[in-house]
Amino acid sequence: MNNLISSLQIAKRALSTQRLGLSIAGHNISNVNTPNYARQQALVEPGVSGAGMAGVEITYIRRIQDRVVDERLRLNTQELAKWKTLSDRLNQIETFFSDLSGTGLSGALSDFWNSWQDLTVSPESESSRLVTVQRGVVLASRLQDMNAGIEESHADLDAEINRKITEINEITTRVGKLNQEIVSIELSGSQANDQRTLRDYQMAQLSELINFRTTERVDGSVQVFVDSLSLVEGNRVTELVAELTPDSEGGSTSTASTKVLASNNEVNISEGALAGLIEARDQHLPTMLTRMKTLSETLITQVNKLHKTGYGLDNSSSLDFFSGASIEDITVNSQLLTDPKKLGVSGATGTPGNNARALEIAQLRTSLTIGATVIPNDRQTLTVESTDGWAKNDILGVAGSSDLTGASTWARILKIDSGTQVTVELFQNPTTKTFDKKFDFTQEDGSTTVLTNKVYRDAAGNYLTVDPNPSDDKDLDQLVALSEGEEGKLEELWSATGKSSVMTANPQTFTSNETFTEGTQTFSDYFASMYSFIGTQSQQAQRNSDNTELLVQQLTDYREKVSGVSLDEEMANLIQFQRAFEASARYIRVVDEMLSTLMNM
Amino acid sequence: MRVTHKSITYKAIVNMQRSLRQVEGKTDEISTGRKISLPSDDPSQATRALGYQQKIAQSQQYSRNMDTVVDRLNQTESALGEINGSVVQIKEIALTLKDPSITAEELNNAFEKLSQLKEQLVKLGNTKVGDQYIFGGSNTTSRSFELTDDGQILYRGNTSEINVEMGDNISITTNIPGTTIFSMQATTAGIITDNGVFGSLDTLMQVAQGGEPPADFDNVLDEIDGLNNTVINARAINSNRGFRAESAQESLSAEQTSVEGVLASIMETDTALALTELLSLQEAYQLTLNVVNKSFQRSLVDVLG
Repeated sequence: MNNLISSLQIAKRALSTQRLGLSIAGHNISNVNTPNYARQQALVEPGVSGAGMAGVEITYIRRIQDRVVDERLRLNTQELAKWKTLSDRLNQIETFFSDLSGTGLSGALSDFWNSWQDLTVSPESESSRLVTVQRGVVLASRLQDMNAGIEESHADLDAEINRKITEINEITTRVGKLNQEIVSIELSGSQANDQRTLRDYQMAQLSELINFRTTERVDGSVQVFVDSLSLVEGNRVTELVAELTPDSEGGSTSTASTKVLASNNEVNISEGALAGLIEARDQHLPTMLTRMKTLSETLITQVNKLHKTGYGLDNSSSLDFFSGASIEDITVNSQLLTDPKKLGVSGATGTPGNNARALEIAQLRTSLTIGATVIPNDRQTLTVESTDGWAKNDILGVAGSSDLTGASTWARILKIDSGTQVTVELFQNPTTKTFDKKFDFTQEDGSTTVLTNKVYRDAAGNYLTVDPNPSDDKDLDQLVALSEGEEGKLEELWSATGKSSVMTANPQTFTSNETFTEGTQTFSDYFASMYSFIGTQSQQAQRNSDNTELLVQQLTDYREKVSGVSLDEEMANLIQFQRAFEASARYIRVVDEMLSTLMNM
Repeated sequence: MRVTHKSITYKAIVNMQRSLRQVEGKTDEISTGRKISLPSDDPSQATRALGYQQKIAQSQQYSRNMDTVVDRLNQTESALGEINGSVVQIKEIALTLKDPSITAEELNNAFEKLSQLKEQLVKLGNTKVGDQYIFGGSNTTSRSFELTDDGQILYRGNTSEINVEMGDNISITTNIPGTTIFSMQATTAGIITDNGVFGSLDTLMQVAQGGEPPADFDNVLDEIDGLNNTVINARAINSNRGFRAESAQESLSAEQTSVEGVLASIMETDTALALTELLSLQEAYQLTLNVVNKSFQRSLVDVLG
């Protein structure tokens, strides 16, 4: 049974409930523009007191949120941040390729080749020479600028990666603290709604930086995982560290790769701004740099190789056109800068009107030069014809002592032609040659004899490893036999009939120059493929970023619709609670009047 | 689904950004006059455009080469024309020398003319185009022929050909060594072993000076005919080269025009189209602004006052 006093209790509870409702509406309205705020709502239930009525009771203040959407939003934000960062970075890299505006490398290359064409028309002109030297200077400085730009980007990216890591560590520290607060508040039975809002906000920030997943524990704390490694667990936080690992011993930092570590375990960063930065840093920039290096190095070797054999107006020769070894130090030979007369345009001495070298250099534009391998000038091939009437079977190889150190000339039999010709490749001062004393000698009938370093041949023409007749001075004692492709120290070339008189002549004069095999691409094709590569990558990143952005927008909109504060709704709530408050107050007066009626009876 | 003011604002901002970005893109296109300026704008087209740009630069260079070459060949042609005339005159004088009734005065005249012709030929052999002596092979900076005080001819040039490219790996020879024109034989070092025209001239001058005509005077006449034929052949070769160079010029300029057309279609903005698009984009942007303005005019807060 109810009595009047308990009715006052009902009224009191009603008043405080409506007041709380008003506070919640006020809290929601105040936070209408707070990022990541989820509106709160009071769960109101009728009070229960045995069989009697107990008015109203607030059981719970909950945050309205759709956890699935929140999680998806976080994942998509991570992806978006990655593509956006990568796209921004690639856009910056792309500015090195402003070729269509006529300021890039391809223009400089084109001008350079054209200036050599001009020299083919007027090889004796000093002003044309000056122009060519200047075009070379422009080309070299453009390459150097590009290299400096790439290096700068590398440094920028390294600094940016470290900044992002610091940010991540700050955020995870905050999440750890909030975890602690939430656990202690919720242990006491209340809801830590606003701490949760703050934590959600931190997680949203973290989504911009790195890929992570979360799980919420029963005690209300969240655990943050990056690639199966736990960053935050309760209030314990593991800090991330970035370090550069050079790709090989002594490798430059430009080709080093970035490693992110959490307590010495490598973390795989796949999303977020950090992933975008690392991808640009470790993949795109090195690819470009390597290609630019190949291009510069090929340019230097190919142009120099031809230029060295050219003659200047003052008959100077053997000069390099470019000095430097690669993209970082390419310049035009200072001798040519001070005296363009030295430019090796002519193909012969004393002929100022000869344009042979200029023509060959100009033709590099259309020849397949990228990827060509250089055969250094310390070797040459020599075709030896026997004066002693060898037969193919007679050619045993190259004789020499087994002590190969200090050998000044080495030989390798490239080809054994018809009856009387053998093509020998000679190396001068080989310093890094290794020499394997096991030789396969293919005989005329096609069978292969494996020979050790001493070879003998009997009267029947068989190869033996034991001297068949030691007393015979015609035996090929101490003979090292080489077959096609094998290398050895050249002293004499032996046949069955004895030492070849041709080969006893001193073959050690080397006059040949560097030669090149044919490459696979022309300079402009190579550059174009690099140009198109960077364009495609950048466009792809932009497109992925656009697509993900659409998703993130939809999810953000959806989240706002679920969790966002509607001012109309809250205004209606305000009035609703205000009226209910008024009614409850009125109820108190009624009970009060009833009580006084009772008192006055 | 609930709708909040914030969700309307958010979407409105996103949409306005998108419209504005499109307006920006079109404005850039119109103000730069280019559809693509960075490779990512359209990688495949940009790479093509790059190739065409280089093609044009290359082809312009070949045209430049041909401009100089055509000029040189024309000058060579006029020099060869004069040389031809001189050789014809030598032939005429030789015929008069053959006449047994020739007077001493006529002989004197013939000698004068012959020595003038000799000087004339040396002068023509030293024809210069720009800074180049065109008949000296690849030795183009010093006089090709020298007439010594004792009437000797020295050749300072060599017998090299000079080749200039008129297309990728297609070249054209731009010179004829003086020794070829004058039917001379010289070693690569320039030492003359057969004097050619000048040899015949010397023979004729000896006759004009009262020397005995050689027994085979007809042979001398035949030789002069041969010399003339050599010059005529050289002219034919030269004018054929001129023809090749000129037709190369024409085809290069035709190629440039067509490549430039393709390049323009890839790179250049169709201004009329772009402007129309810009207008409709601006219209859409304006409309978005109006709608946003309308949707924010009232809320319950205003009504409840």
